[in-house]
Amino acid sequence: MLIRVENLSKTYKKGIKNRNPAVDKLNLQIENGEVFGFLGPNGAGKSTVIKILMNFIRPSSGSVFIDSLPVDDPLTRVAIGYLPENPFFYDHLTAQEILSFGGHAARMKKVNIPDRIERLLSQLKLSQVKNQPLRTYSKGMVQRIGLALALVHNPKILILDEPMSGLDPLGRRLVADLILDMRRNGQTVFFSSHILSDIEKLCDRVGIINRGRLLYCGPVGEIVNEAGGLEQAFIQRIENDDRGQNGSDLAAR
Amino acid sequence: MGQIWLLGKITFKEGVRNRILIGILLFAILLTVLNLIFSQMFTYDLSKVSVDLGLSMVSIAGLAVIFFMGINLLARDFEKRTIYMVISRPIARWQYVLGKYLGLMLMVGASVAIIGCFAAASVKAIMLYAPSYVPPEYSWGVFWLSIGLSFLSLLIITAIAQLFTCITTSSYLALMLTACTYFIGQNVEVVRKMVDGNDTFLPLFRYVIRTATWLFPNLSAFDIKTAAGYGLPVEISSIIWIAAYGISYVFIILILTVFIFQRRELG
Amino acid sequence: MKKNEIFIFIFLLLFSLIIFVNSQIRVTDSRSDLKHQLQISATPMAPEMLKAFAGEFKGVVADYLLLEAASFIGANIKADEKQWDAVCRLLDQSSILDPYFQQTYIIAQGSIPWQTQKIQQAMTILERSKKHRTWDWRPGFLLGFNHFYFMKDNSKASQELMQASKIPGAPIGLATWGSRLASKAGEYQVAIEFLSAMYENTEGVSQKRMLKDRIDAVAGAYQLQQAVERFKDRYDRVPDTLEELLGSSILPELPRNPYNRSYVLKDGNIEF
Repeated sequence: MLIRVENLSKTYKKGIKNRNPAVDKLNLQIENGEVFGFLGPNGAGKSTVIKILMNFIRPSSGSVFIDSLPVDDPLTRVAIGYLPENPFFYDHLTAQEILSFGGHAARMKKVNIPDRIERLLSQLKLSQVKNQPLRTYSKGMVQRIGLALALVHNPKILILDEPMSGLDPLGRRLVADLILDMRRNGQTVFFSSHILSDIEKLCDRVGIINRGRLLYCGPVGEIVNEAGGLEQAFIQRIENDDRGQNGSDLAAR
Repeated sequence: MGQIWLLGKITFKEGVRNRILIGILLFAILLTVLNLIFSQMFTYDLSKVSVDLGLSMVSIAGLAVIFFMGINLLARDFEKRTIYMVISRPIARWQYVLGKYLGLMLMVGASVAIIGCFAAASVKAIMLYAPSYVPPEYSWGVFWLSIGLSFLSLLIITAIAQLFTCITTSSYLALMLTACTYFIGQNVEVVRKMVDGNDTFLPLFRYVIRTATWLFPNLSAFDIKTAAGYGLPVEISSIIWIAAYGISYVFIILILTVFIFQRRELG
Repeated sequence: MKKNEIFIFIFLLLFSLIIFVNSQIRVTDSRSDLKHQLQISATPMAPEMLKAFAGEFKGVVADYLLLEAASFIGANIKADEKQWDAVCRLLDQSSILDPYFQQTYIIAQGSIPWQTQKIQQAMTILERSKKHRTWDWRPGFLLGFNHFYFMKDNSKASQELMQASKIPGAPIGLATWGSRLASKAGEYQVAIEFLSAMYENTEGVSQKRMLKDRIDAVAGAYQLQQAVERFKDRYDRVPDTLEELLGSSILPELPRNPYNRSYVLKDGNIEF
């Protein structure tokens, strides 16, 4: 098992009233070599889970292991490539410099770094601009640099937070191809999205999360067959959950 | 160590690219011109005035780098989340703190070095122009020592700026707090001396001042500009103690920052 | 953080703390006297230029210069002529930048004329304050005092006092002293009354105590002077030493000098 999330809860300390947990006793396992899609409406807790995986924030309770190391060990991140939702970089640096930093920091062998950067940049169609500072880049180009940075050390696991948002169709195609490539190489991809068609196309398994709880976790095929399409299945489950929640809220009152 | 160096390097590059280097160079040239003009306005102690001015410019340039660049560079990591790019790598939190600090240290060091050389050149020029005003005991050693101590005090302020940025994650607040600390640090010794030499102050007030001398860095201890200007002798042992004081203060602040940042949530 | 890293950091922290405490104490010690020898210095800058440089921060710069001077005076160290020069210059610059500030002339008057021969510097600052603070009788009063006490110029003193007495709020005594000085009455008595009035009009415990000491000193001198007069009446000559006064049972005991020095008799006059 590559990623193991056990009984994970997270409550943000925001005022006294808002005590609803962002993540509520979540259990999740992701196997080596699978592409896992993390689905949920806005504010469902997807980003929170990903930030805990990256050790940006600490769980209130529960534990998370990657490659059987607890995530607060920085060494887990040797195996991880991460793309944040809206990537920002030190924008006076060039693509070359950023990627070189990424490679060195991920403890790649020094001799391999220039080749790897060259290949990634041409794959992501950024070769012409590699010596320009990042602040001259368009939003799509920045997103692609983010991908390149996530991929530069050829990570075992790729964690992408909304990789498709803000990309044009070409960019989305590029990302989709990359994910498929990784699957072919036996690498693991964990990504969150609310673009259902992408998920349907790319994923082996999906997890649907709402109000911090996992509503479904299983193969894409199963849920698609169940309701005749991922979109219907997704909407049905979220609506059921919300209705149940409102009911219990009313009952509690 | 490798990770710290990597991060230091990109922080430095990012800072330098921010046109600050050009700004500093302009400032250095301006300083030289100003120094040549300014010292003409004095009728005596010309070389002292130029040394004073040159050394003050070194401090001012360093402060400008910290306040206008350094804090911005640090806070942007939190405000724009550029920090994700760094800590999604196998870089521990403490390595992040030290790496950032190293980068800023290089930046401040570079600007001090540049302005220091320009200052030395303009002082030399004035000494050649008006050799009769050169103090008999004048020593370039003390001049460079003064620059070194200025650098050390700038390093203290940098560490404090980083501590406040990690606590507040806001460039504005960090700037205000750091500026306050700077002013308190410059004056805490004078105030304490006044309070100690005079028993009319409330005991509570004295107690507060005495505590402040332990919390805030005594930045005036790093100021030997007067000695440099008049070529007064400096005691090596006292310089060593001042250096030990500054370095240990920086260490303490950095370690505090590490512990605070370790617990920080970067949501 | 891993356990061993935490240990290393805590160890480093303790280590740095030890060095810090040590060096802090050393630095404070070594600078307690060194600092002022080194630091009490004022820029030899023309006041107009200083004004230009201070820009809109004239007030703050004035306060700062004043603080610098006050802390030097407050430290109570033995200062040489050069350092007093610097103090005078700081106070002068401060008063030029902000001629309205009361603290400046109070500090100047409280230190300069008593501890150095630079009475003229104090007078300049007082003159400046008098010119700007038209509602304040104290600068004129102090000027009058200086003329009388230090410069021994009773007619100028009388003039100043008469002028100051016209300002609303001035103590009633001013005019009286002014006229009495003009007629050269007993100087000690006037001095005591003068100082007592200053004492009454002063706030701040230490300033008050300082004045109290002066009053005591002058009162002691007055007492001695009277004894000398009596001695002269009785023996028709001036005593050689003060002890002679005791021996001839004119004076039961010598008054205590609050400055821990003894009064000295010189050519029939008392010095302290």
